[in-house]
Amino acid sequence: MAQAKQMKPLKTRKSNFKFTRDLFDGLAKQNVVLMTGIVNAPVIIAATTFKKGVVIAIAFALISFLTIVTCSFIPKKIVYTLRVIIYAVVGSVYYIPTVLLLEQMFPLTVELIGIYMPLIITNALIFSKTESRFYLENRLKMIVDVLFFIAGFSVICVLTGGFREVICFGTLAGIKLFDFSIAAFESPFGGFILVGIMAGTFRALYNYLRNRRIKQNAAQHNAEAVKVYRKASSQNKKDAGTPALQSGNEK
Amino acid sequence: MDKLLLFINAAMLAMFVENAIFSRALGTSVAFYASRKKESIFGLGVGITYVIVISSCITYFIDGWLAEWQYFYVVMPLIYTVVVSIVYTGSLLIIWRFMPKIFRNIKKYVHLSVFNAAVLGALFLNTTYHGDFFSYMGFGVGIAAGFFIAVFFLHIANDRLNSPLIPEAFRGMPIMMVFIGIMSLAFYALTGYNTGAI
Repeated sequence: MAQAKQMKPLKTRKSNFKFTRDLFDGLAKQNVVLMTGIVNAPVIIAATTFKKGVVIAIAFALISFLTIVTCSFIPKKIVYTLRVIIYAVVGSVYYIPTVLLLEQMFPLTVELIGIYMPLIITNALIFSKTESRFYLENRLKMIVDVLFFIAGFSVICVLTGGFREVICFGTLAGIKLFDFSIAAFESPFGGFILVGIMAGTFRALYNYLRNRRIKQNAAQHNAEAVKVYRKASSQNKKDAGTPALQSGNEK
Repeated sequence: MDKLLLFINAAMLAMFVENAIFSRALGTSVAFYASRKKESIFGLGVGITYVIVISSCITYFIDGWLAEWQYFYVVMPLIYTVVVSIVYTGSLLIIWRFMPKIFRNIKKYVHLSVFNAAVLGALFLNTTYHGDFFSYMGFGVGIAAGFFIAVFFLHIANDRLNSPLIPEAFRGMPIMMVFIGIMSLAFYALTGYNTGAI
């Protein structure tokens, strides 16, 4: 009985995800590269050109989405310590068609990405976010939420790849822009420093926009409160006048 | 003696030249998590070392078997995941059976020390170098030791990097990334850095 009581909160555990409020979390507030930093190795090391960024983004999207959706059907009765093995195996199975498909489309780029391609199967979106967020939501919300998280990663991966290509080689998607180049940004240390600066800037911008929205909301709220107050006070004045007249009439 | 030298050589290569965090960014998010507490550094360090070394020994024989197969690189992640899963399950069963207290303590984060980019990355890199059995073992030990060193550095810097002297937006992960970048630059000094071709 005591055990059953202890189990109850686990069974009824639900996400406090609100569709309109939290829909864009994966894009900005909880961006996996710049805000939480839980998936960053492919961006730091492998995304050195626009094309590589695109290939990594496609591989990440296909493997993560299919794995998360498939693993959502695994019963929660299996303890997480063992369920995590199934996640890893499912991810590795989806890696096979993904890499074969991408090899047909971008043969050289896949080879250049090297070990960072198969390492996508161990990303934290599959192993951590599923338990802390995705699997607490209903399936439709989960799918939309996962898509936004993937979009958040993909946008940053492609942008970082494009930016690094421009400053390292003076080209974008192979098109020559200028001769100036800083080759150091192609290296891992360049990647770390660049992603660190991008993350800081992104957070500063996000905080600025959030604070501005809060101030605007507060100002709007205050204005409405003042209107309500004025209306109420004028009503009070009227109410205060009416009894006097009434009392005069009574006289 | 030659075997020992091979082992040490591979371990040094993995620790400094192919450092899991500073050169390869493998398991960076786990390193951030582990660097917060001293106990986590030790626990995760031991876990990762154990899984990498045992799995490296097993994958040595698999590589010898399947290296010639045309599609080995496609199924390699699946095979390595199965190997790591077997090591993980076997070890958990042994700990659960004989050391239940330890099992209760580690079960919350034990999966972090197994299913992360550092473990699988070490196995992939091992396959890329394709040495003999002692090189495989040495490389596994070196990657784990390199990871441990990197997490220890992050732990030392953790308090300072979260101080009020750092601008609020950069506190935490962003400044940690910049710090790893500078450390990575220092590690590059060991191998030499050529701006022309990397």
